[in-house]
Order: sequence, then C-alpha cells, then structure tokens
Amino acid sequence: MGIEVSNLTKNYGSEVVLDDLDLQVPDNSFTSIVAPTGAGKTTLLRVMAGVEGPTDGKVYYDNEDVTDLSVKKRNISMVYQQFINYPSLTLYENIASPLRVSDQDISEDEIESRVHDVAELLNIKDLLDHLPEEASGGEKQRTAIARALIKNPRFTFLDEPLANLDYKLREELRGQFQVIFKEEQSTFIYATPAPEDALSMSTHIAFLHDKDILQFGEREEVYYHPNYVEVGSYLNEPPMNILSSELMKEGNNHYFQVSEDLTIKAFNSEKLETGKEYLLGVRPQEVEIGELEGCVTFDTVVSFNEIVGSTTTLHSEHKGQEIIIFVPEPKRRPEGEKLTVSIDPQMLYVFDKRTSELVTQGTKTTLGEKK
Amino acid sequence: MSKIELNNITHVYQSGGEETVAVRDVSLTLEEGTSNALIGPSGCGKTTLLNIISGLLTPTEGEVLIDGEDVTELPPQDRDIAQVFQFPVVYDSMDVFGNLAYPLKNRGVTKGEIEDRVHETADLLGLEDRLHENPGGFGPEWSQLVSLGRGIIRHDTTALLFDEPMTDVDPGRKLTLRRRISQAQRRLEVTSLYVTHDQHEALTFAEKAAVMNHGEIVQYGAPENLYNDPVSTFVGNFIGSPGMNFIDCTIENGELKFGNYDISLPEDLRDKLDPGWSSLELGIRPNNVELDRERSAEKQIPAKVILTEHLGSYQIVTLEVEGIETAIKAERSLENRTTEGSEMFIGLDPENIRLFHDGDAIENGTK
Repeated sequence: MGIEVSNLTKNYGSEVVLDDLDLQVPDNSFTSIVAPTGAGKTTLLRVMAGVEGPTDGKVYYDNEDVTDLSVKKRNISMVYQQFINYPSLTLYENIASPLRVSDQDISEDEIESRVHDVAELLNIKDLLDHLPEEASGGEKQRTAIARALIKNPRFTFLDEPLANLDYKLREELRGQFQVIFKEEQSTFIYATPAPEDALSMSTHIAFLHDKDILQFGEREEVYYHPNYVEVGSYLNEPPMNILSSELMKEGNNHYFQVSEDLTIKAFNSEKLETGKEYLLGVRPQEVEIGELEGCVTFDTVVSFNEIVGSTTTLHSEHKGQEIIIFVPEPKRRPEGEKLTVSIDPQMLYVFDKRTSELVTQGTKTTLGEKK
Repeated sequence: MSKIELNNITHVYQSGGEETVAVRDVSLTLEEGTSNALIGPSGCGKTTLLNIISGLLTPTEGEVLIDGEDVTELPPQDRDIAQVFQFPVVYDSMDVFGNLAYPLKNRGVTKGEIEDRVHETADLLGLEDRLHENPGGFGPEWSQLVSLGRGIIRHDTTALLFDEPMTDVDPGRKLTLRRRISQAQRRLEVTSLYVTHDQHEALTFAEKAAVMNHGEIVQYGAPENLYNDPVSTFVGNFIGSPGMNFIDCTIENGELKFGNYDISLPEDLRDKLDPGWSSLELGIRPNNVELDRERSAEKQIPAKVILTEHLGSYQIVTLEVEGIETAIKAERSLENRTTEGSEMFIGLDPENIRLFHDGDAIENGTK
C-alpha cells in the first residue's frame, strides 16, 4: 500500500532530471522529499501525482499501476508554492469547488459541513465570506490547503507550501501541519529544501541527490544514521560541519589529523585505513565554546555571525576549514576574535572522503534518538 | 558616509476620498557609518519609509536630513543614495566591468582611476574572477552583487539602502550574499538601512534594527536588546522563533497568579506595578522555560506535551497547562528531547520573566 515509484526516469529534452529512481512512500506516512533547489523535487512530485508522465518507469498507487492514468482520475490533491485560488470566489466557494466539480452528487448540507470542518482545522472559519484579495498570504495558503483536503484525497502532494510565507506564518503552519496530518489520516508527500520543515513534520524522509534517492527511511533513522556525507551535512540546521582529515598511526594509536594543531583520537579503527582521507562530521550544536573535559579542544577565529532570531549561527575558521557553532541565543561576537572550542570525539560521524559513505559514528551521536 | 535623520515623518495615501496613514510620526537617526535594519510585517509601512529616505516619495509631514541638511524635497538623484532593489538591476549590454564602471563615467574620473576602483570594488564583493563575463546570465545572488557594486563604487555615496534584496535568491545561496553584503558594509563603513520582513536578514546585517508595526517604529535597538527586552508583546512575538510566550495573570498582593499557580516577583519588579492594575501579561522566552520530568522546588507547574518539533538542531515543545488558555512553548536539546503526551514540570525563573500591561512592557525597554 502507499505509493511505489519504480525505475523512474524523467528527461526534459536531453536533460536527465531523474535517473532510474526507486521510492516507496508508506501508507499513512508524512514523507518529505528533501533536496536543495533545482534537484528535481518538483518534477518527482509531479510525476508521482500524474501531472506529468515519466520518460520511463512505473508509478503504483496501492499496488495498482497508475502510470498512464490521468490526474483527473486519481484521487489526489496538490498544494503549490504559489497560493492558487479563484479570485472571484469567496474563500468558502474556493474550498467547496472540488466537491462541486466532482462526479459524486454531494448535497449542499454535506458541502457546508465539510467546508466548515476543514476551515476550522485551518483556522479560517471566520473568513469564509471573504474574497482571496481580502486575505493575507497565510490565509490564502490556508485556503489552498483546505481546498486540497476537502475531498479527502488518498494522497496529498505538497510542493514547498511554506516557501512564500513569512517566518511567523511558517512557524505556525509547521505545527499545524502535524495536527492536520494526524486528523486527516491521509498520506502526505511534501517537497521542501528546508531541513527544519522536513525534520519537524515528517514521519519519513527521502533525500534526493544527483537525480536519485540517496537515502530513504524513518525521520530518526535518516537524521541519526546518515548513510552519506551529503545527507548528514544537509539534514541539520545549521548544516553539519565537515572537516577533512587523514588517518594517522603512532604506535598502536590511530588518530585523525585535521590540521597541524588538531588531532582527534580515532574510534572503531578496525573499520579505518591508515593514510586514508576521511571527512569528519560534527553538528554545530555539538561544538562547545570553551574547554570541556573529555573533549578535544582547539582554536578558531570568528568569521561571521548570523542572528536567526532566537539563535546565532556563528561561523568560524580553523586553519582554512569552516567550523559552525550553534549558539542558543542572539549574541554577536566580534569578527576576528579567537575562540577556544571543544568537540567530543564520540559526537563525530566518519565518512569516506572518496565514496562519501558513512564508515562509523561515535557512540554519542545517537543521543536523543527515539528508542 | 553620512548621518541620516528622520524627524516626525508622517505619510498619508489618498485614494478615492479615503485616507490611509502608512507612516505615523516616525523619528529615527541613523548614525554615520552604521548598519541598520527596518523590519516589520507586510503592510507595516516600511517600504513607504524607505521611499521617503531615497526620495521617491515626499512625506506628508516631517523632514529628512542628510548630515543636517534638509533634503525632504530633493529628488532621488540629488541625494547620492545608492539602492539595491528587490530584483537585481544589471545591464546585460556590457560585462561586469562595464556595469561597475558605469556610475563613474561622465563624472570626470580618469580611466586609470576607474580601473583601480572597479578592481577594488570587485575584490571586496568577490567579483574579481567574473569581471569580463556578461551578467545577463547570472543568478540573482551574483546580479545583486553587481547591483551593490554599482552602488558603492562612487565615493560620494551618502547611504546605502537595501529593499528585500534576497527575495529572488535560492535558499541555499543566501548565505554567501548575506556575508558579502555585511562584509562590504563593515569594510566601507557606509551608513546603511536594510529593509526586510525577515528577522534572519535584518538581525544578521544590522548593529541596530528598527521594528515597525502599523506605521510606527515601536523599538530600535541591537538584536540582543530586542530579544531580551522587547518594549511590547508585539516585539516579543515578532522577534524570535518561536516568539515569546505570554501568559495572562492577575495580581494579588504583589503576587502574580495564573491558573492554580503564583509567582513571587523580585522586589524591583514589584515596585513597578501600578496599584490600579488587576491583570498583567507575563512574558518568557521559550529557551528560558525550564522543563523537567520530575517535580522540584523550581519546577512546580505540571504540563502535558501536545506537540514536538525538531528544528534541525534543537527541539521546540508545546505544552498545555491546566487552567491557562495559551499553550507554552519551550526549547529543549535533542539529547533531552521529549515526545507527545509526556507529562513534564515547568519552572519559570523570575529573573527571566518580563511583564507587560495592555501589551506594553513594564520594565524600561530601550525605545
């Protein structure tokens, strides 16, 4: 059950956008397709929904081949980045419209009760007699979402629905999407470039990279056990620090040499090769300012402060490698200031530099993972 | 580099016999060489104010001074203000070099000096390697750098205005532009104003940000200031993600009560309460809401987790407390993450509490 995409290829002219891609979206899941802008998320969503056909490959809904079934015959809905509403219809009529054009004969009473239910869920029930032009951006998008949900679709596709909203509305709708999802018991497929959107709402995450799904799994699995450096690096906000290093051996001890001043004792060295290059991943929230016991301590120089509202993303540099530090309050440090920072080696992810695959990870990297 | 003063600016739009006050009695001084931001929700009047500074609009009332000189009636071209717009403006009939050199042409600048200044500007913005490319094919982040370069290449620029310059830039490419814009401003020490609805852009760029709402500047201060001591519940909510929590309280004998709980205020705060007040709003930032699974002397308020959100490096927890209407949001590290349905105990340290009456801060917020 759910959606299965098998050997999917999509070309636009000579450009290959998706290449022999497989994906299984579990029934009743909130699956996010995550990737940077331009990676093909929207294309994948459109092909899954049937708005576009694949160049090659199959799409199955609940084990039934729907590859050639027109979008009108599929029981699905779509919500887009742009807030699309009928300008001359009230919000009520906008939301009711899918029921009016449906083949089923639905009574006015039924329509009214369903519009009110879904409007209540989206906090727009006081605005139903307004026209879209009288509504704010957030209210327009809520209306578009309500319209998508009203026919109780089997699958709901959402293409970056929060992208054009102000951060206050994004905050609010992110929480609300979880509530709606639980309420609706539909399957949501949500495309987004924002790791915090995917991590906060999804049950499952599919990471799209280089025309294919690089990793798919439950949210916790993908976050705590990224198979590739691309996944680990992207799925944190701010992104995971990635340090280049070489594995060295002295006597019986193995260590990662990051710079002449920074060596980190290696763990699980039976999985590692001396002389080989590794990428060490450490999340910005695990880089501590100051000297900490049991940690490796080194110096960095502040290069840039991003104040994100409640938090600061502090950029610094150690011997030409960037170290991002997450600070849980707005606080600017002078650029050029020297900082002493500490990392717990057991908080490291170790990736093979050549293949970018995860080789091993510290015992503390999974703290916080849901058991 | 100049000092810019806005004195009692009001702007009223007339349309079909109806009047809309877009800007109401705004006074603001941008000190010479400082970086500033103007931030507020859409429709708050920030674009109108920007246009009054650049000269595209003449205010209904009030005056604009540049270095003490009244420029209220001067057209934009006579103010020597450079502006980077929402959508980048580049000339695709010439290369990047030509674009940057353009504002210096016909101004009596020698060829040698033009050359020097183009290289200096390109170096500052990271455009050095692209000088001989045509910017017509550039993505918005590069085009914005070219626009910015044209703005700052003249040495007589009095101020630099940014109008939502990131609108068209991909999320993944914003950081580089953000960084280059900030670094150029700090290096040149040009008086700047960055207009945006996004706190990330505003607070990253600006030493001081002016928060605007309903046509008025409600607070002007450093990011830390706006966050720690908001002058109103509006600022407390608008700055910070999520915003400050507000809990309606009653006052009884100098103690705050909400639901079944009371909080003893420190003396200095208690002294600021007006005896005539019967209710207050208690404000506390989500990262100051202390949470524990066990009840303790500091954490007494039982609460139930109704929503959790993984925000990429920490968790936001929404909690329901019996007897109060508003849900409370708290920040939690991922290591200590909790799940929906969990029973927790909340502690509110009086040190971290801010008080508001009818939406206005009781303490001496920096206005």
